[in-house]
Amino acid sequence: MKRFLILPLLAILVAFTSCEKDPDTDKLDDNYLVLTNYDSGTDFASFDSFFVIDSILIINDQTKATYWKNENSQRIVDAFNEHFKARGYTAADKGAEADIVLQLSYVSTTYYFNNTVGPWWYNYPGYWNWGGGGWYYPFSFYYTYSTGSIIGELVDRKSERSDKKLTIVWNTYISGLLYGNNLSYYRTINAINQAFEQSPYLVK
Amino acid sequence: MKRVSRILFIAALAAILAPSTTKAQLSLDAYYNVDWQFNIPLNNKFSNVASGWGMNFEGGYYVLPQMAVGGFLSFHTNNEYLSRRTINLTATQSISTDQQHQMFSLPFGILARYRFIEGDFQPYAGLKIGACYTEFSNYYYIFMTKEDTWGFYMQPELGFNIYPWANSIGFHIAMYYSFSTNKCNIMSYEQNNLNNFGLRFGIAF
Repeated sequence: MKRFLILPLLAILVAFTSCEKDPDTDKLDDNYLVLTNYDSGTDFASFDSFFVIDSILIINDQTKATYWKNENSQRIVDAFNEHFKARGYTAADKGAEADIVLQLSYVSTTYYFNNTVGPWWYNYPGYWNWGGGGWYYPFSFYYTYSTGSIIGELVDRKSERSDKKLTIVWNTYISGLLYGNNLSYYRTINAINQAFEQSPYLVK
Repeated sequence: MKRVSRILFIAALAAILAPSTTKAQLSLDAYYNVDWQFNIPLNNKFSNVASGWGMNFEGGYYVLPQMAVGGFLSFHTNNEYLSRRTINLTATQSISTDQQHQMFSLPFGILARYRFIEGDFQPYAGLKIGACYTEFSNYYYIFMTKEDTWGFYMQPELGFNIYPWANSIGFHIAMYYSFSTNKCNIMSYEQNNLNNFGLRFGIAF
């Protein structure tokens, strides 16, 4: 009788050590992830002109601001420019002349996010502060940031509040852009296309 | 010598072929089942793909010749891959990604079983009630969102134990419907209550 009892008990033991079947994450397509959000109180048709800042802030583990500006970063900036034009907005020559301004950041390492409490942009060295009093988010946007991501934040320059802060009226978080250790521009452009596709309200 | 061998052979054959006059299961007063189970979620918005990733353990004591009471514990995982799509997380927030959903349930509690026939073949009807722990997990890109939930669990069942050999283990086959009050809301995938149909195949002793 003992041998009959030992086998089921062993089966129970084996079953409990592996009772939860992990999902097959290899099925995931390993492609981009695109997150967008906007201020529901903003009338995007009221804007006429736009400007995309042509230097991309690099978020890394440095205490000094680093910016990315070369022909590769320009491909990303151009992709945003084309979409804003396609949505009926007019390109301004500089940020000070535009109704809305897009600022772009590239997450090179997640050091800052893993070592800072609070909103990611808070006190980040070199973070865009051309607006004078800074800016504020009218909507919540919390996310886990990963290496190889691009963050785009659209500022309404007409929205200066009494505390001089400007409103971010739309943002996008684009992740999964690395192919190996390098940024895939093909994937990045597709992800930017997707960001606009899922933001139909962003139109003149 | 030849005669002795013939007598032994006939005796062995008789022992195998003749209806058992001794008890079939290991204990007449109690039973135990260890099963592999196949679970089919019914109209589940989070994970609706059937799978065989589960087991069931139960045991009971016959307080009456045909009525047993006891306890059970089972677990099951149902995974579903969702291809790339855009989901509205809130009225203003949208996400575009593909996902792998995982639903892991672990119900446990008490049971009652009524067997219609005693003997080698024991068809029965049973009812289990208890608590159900269910973990809803959503894997996407390199991220994972999870909700741990508890709910009330109820599960009627029909099946049979069959004991082909005397004083030995037997086999168990059953089908069940289960209901639990677990709820989740992950990435706009909202599921209130869980309904399942399933089959169990295992050993009885």
